[in-house]
Amino acid sequence: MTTIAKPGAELAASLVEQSRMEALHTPMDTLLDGALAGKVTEDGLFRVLGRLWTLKRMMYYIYGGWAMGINVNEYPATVDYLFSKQLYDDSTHEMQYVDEILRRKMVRTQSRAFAHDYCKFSETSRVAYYIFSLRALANYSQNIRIAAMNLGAKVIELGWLERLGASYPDPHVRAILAGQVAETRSHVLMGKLIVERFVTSDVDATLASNSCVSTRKNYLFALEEFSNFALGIPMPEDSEEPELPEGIE
Amino acid sequence: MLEPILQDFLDKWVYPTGFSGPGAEFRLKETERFIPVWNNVVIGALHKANEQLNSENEDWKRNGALGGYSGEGPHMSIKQMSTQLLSVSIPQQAKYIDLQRMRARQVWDEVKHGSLHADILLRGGWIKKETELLDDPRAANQGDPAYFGLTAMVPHIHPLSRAGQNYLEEAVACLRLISVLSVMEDPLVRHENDSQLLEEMMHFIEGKYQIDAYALTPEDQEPIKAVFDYLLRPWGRSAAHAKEAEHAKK
Repeated sequence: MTTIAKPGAELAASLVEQSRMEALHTPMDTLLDGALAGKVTEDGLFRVLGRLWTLKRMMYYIYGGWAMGINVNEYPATVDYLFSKQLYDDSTHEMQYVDEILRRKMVRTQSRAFAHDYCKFSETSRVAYYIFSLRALANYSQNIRIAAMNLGAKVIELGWLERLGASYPDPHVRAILAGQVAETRSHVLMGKLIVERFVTSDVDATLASNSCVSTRKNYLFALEEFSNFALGIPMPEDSEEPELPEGIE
Repeated sequence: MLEPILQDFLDKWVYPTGFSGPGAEFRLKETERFIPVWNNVVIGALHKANEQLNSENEDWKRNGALGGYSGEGPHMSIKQMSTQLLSVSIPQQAKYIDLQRMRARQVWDEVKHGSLHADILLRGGWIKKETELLDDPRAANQGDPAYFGLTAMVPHIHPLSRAGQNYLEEAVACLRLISVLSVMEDPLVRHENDSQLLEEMMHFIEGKYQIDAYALTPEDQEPIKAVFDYLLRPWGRSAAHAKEAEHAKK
């Protein structure tokens, strides 16, 4: 039986562990606490669903840009198979969020959802900050951006999806979030596979690690906006930015 | 005289429409130009499949799978389809997000079709692992770079341009698959073709739906017509399919 080389195994385990620590309590857990205490109104829920939908529908642009940067024969087909499934999964999740907005009659049509303040893509929002940071990962190769996304933000997303999917008081919202757990977990596992097998040099390992740290922070930065917006908590100063990893100016 | 396979395809999938209005009218008018091409595709595919049936060796299976892998394998598919996600600008997303959703699905479909071609090579004993294809240029060769380049240029043309490609070319794919399946008994080849037929059909129907639903003004129809015109040029892909059939008949 052939043994598959896993030069990045230690790095993958380390990134997952770091991200799990960050995922233990996220702004989405603050939202959950608020919901359990009856402090999330229907309007507050609309705010967070709108933000989640906006984030997911921006992923078409991120994934489109990343996929264009995977050249023929650059990686074994595994990389393409797994990434295309992730792209399709996140497209499904995008539809689930807007379907719930429509099902609850928060707006009457999808086009009205696009026009609503809670769902608009605003360049000055933290969603935009996070999306822009993901788009910049197109400058790196696929192994590095998957390390950043799938072993960073996706680990955090998995954490809050599991908790809100188990405990969010509204049964419809709980079902949507719980339903996304299996696919998000598969994205984390896919990220682990990519990093284990395809982060093979010291320079790529450092870049993967730095990108993972910043992607995690940027994702949490965006989630804080979601939670505060839903709970009616004023945002901190707009000038606040996530800390850059050590060594990056 | 239309081939029965084409007539059946037209009656079941092309002519029935849930829409009325300028989009559907435009599509049906344009379709008249494609019928001779599609008919020749069926003739050519049937001729080729019968030749393959009478072949003394199985090289055609390997070559077909390698060609399929290079054209719609995981590498090429993810390149080709990802451009489609970017063909809708953020201000246009309210109108065209369904196109992005359909294309997200199509990325996944096309990549999976690559694995069907790899299955032929694996089960036929020509390779032991799919990774061996990284060392075979036949599995990565772009036989018609301009076609793939057209797809890549779509984000710079119009969100509906790809609808034209899906309508005209995915119909070609469907007709070829149906033609092959009408004569082939080989279980491996049937698996390769049958397993992707419904998805190719869906891509064709997506093109049809997008034209019917969205191409309602001359401004929206023009970029689709331009794609049709291109594909029907003597050097265009659809014309090339028809030429193949002419050679087959001779």
